[in-house]
Amino acid sequence: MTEKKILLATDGSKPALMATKKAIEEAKAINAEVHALTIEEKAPMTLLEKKQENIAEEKYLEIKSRGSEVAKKYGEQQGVKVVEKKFESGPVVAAIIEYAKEIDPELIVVGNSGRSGWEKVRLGSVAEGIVKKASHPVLVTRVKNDDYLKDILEIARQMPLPRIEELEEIKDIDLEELEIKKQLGLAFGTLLAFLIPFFGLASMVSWAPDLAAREIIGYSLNTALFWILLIFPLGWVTAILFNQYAKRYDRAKES
Amino acid sequence: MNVIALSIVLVLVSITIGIAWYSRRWTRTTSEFYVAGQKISWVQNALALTGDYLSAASFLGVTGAIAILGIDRTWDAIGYFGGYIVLLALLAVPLRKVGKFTASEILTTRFRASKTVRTSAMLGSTIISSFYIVPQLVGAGALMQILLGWDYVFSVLIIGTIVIIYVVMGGMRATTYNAVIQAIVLWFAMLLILLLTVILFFDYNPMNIIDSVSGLVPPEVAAGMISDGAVVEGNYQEVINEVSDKLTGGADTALTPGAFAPDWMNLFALATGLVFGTAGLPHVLKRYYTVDKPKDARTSTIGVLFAIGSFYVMAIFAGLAAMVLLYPDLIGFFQAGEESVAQNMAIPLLGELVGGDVLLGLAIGGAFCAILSTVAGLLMTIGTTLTHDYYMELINPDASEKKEVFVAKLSIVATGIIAVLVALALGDQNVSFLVTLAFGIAASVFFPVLFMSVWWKGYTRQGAIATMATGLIIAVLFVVAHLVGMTSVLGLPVLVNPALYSLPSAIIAGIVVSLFTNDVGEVDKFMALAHRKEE
Repeated sequence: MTEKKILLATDGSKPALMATKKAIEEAKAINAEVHALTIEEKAPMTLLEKKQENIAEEKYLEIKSRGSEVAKKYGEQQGVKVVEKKFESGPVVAAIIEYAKEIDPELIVVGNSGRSGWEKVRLGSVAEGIVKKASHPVLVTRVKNDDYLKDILEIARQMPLPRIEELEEIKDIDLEELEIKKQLGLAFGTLLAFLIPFFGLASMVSWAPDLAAREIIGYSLNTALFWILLIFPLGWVTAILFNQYAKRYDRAKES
Repeated sequence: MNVIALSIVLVLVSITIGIAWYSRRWTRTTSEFYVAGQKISWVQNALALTGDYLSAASFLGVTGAIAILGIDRTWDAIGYFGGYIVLLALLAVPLRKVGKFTASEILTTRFRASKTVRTSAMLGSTIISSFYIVPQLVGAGALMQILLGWDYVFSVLIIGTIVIIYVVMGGMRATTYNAVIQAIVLWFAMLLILLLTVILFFDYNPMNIIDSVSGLVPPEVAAGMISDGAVVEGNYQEVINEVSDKLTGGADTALTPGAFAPDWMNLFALATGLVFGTAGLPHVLKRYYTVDKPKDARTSTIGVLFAIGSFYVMAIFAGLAAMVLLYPDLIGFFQAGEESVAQNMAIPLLGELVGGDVLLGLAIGGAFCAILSTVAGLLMTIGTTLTHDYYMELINPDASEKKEVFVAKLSIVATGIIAVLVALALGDQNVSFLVTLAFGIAASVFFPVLFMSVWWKGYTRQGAIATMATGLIIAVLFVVAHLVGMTSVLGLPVLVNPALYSLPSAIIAGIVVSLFTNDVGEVDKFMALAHRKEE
């Protein structure tokens, strides 16, 4: 028989912890497993922007913790099986709806931060988006009081978000396989394809000013200006060709 | 005061600041800001990169410079454009693969962290970024002059204060979105102004612009030659005829090269500084942090090339058209001593000419938003460098995120104030020219060190330090010499850009020192990381 499932969307914030607690309670009641979904949104932000946002979010949401991991730990405590699911990126609402289609849950549980009026217009609402678009029953929770959340808050506090991770793991890779010389050759080829006409223009202007000033196709368009205007399409073609060749190096060899 | 133009400017600026406020605190749902369910990250990144790049220098400076000096200043356009090819070919993908985007981080990853490395990288980054901020403020000052008739000093003080407050109060998060919007606004403002110009004055054919500037003596040159006070009056055609008659025989027309960089040394210095500068600009490299995958680094860069390339083609035509149509005005500004207007206001004035107050407002507003977001991005780069690469590494490694952001803000305020003061002193310069100097320094300090770290196994830690120090010292020396009006330093002529001396010196210093030292760092691991196969 297929197991009953409850889909929980959590980002580890206080409203989400409320939803987590509720989801686990419901799962206990109907003997289901909880799929805890966390979506890490990758907006194009620089490091400082990200840190700044972390601080701001924490202030606003009171707590920021590892969403699905907290759910799992809390589930263990309560004797409910929790399946962790993390999405690296993507619009939040769309990702939740997609995943719901995939696992066909009894219920989707999501926290509502309780914003209303202007704040809601300004910030939008994940909960509302899900209620509108989901084809499964949705339970939207509100934060009751801290007392009710005491046990899960304690777990969450022990599992704060890690500091923004920066250094990537260096794996052992065979340098020979990387064809660094060939890659450098490609880089230099690309560079020269652009720099020769670029400095060629400077050379012509410097040492063959008569040629530079010679009118070529009418409208008083001289060689120099024609060349200048030609540099742009030349750059575009060079860049596209580079991309075509560079792709090959990035495709991991199939063993 | 021009009410319509002013209102448009205010609306555009409010939108910009509104976005900063909108995305200020809580952004879990910014996804609903994007098209739901769509992944458009590389397009977004390309636009953000473009917006960061198209600053006052491109919008005001390039067109302004072409309008007063003609074809010689198209170098700025092709150089800014070509810089992205260098970046694409040599650095964009390796940096993305390593996941590091500043010289300091790259050097720390490959070699051991050392105080000297961090200090010189921090100095370089701060100097380049500050140098880039100054022209933005100069542009803003000139804008206020023509919009509100404010005094230049007053304008720069006000704008400087607004920008600093904007960044510190929370504009940080918004810089990405502002950059995206700014890219779109500037591109279409340029298109609209150029289209109307061609339709109204050049008989629907942009080639007629070229035809009508041929034989024209560039306004800055002309103004210099008729400084005896000869009055320039009449419509643009009459003035052009009169000035050209007076000065017939002069070889320097708008379409013959030589008005700005008169000899091969100056020309090659400018070309070198520009084309290698982009790949050394800290705020441009930082932007790649937001690119998700190596292949996105390529596609985003190609997107940028198309966006800025088409923009600069338009800017060249718009600049030349402005030279013709604003001929008497431009000479008049020089004669009246209003250099900052003459140097940088061609595009807003052209907008006013073809589209009245509405386009004047759009051009000024667009430029204003460009300045706001570029300066914001630069200040953030400085903030990040000073805290993340320096403070956190050398002074207080255990600082909390909160403290780190606080220190960043503090350094942002301090640098902002310094930039405002320098901008006050350089008000009569062309914005794009000042930016080319920042490019020249970047080309000498960070481009060579990043290039050699990423591609040369024999590069050593001492070699890297030698590269940065040599590049920085020589570049700054010649920039300062140029700005204070010296004609030669150490027996070498002072050129329009330091890069002809400083870039080769930096590379040679790096090679020579590397050959005599042997600390190549964790070169195998680093090379594997930088050049691994990953899409």
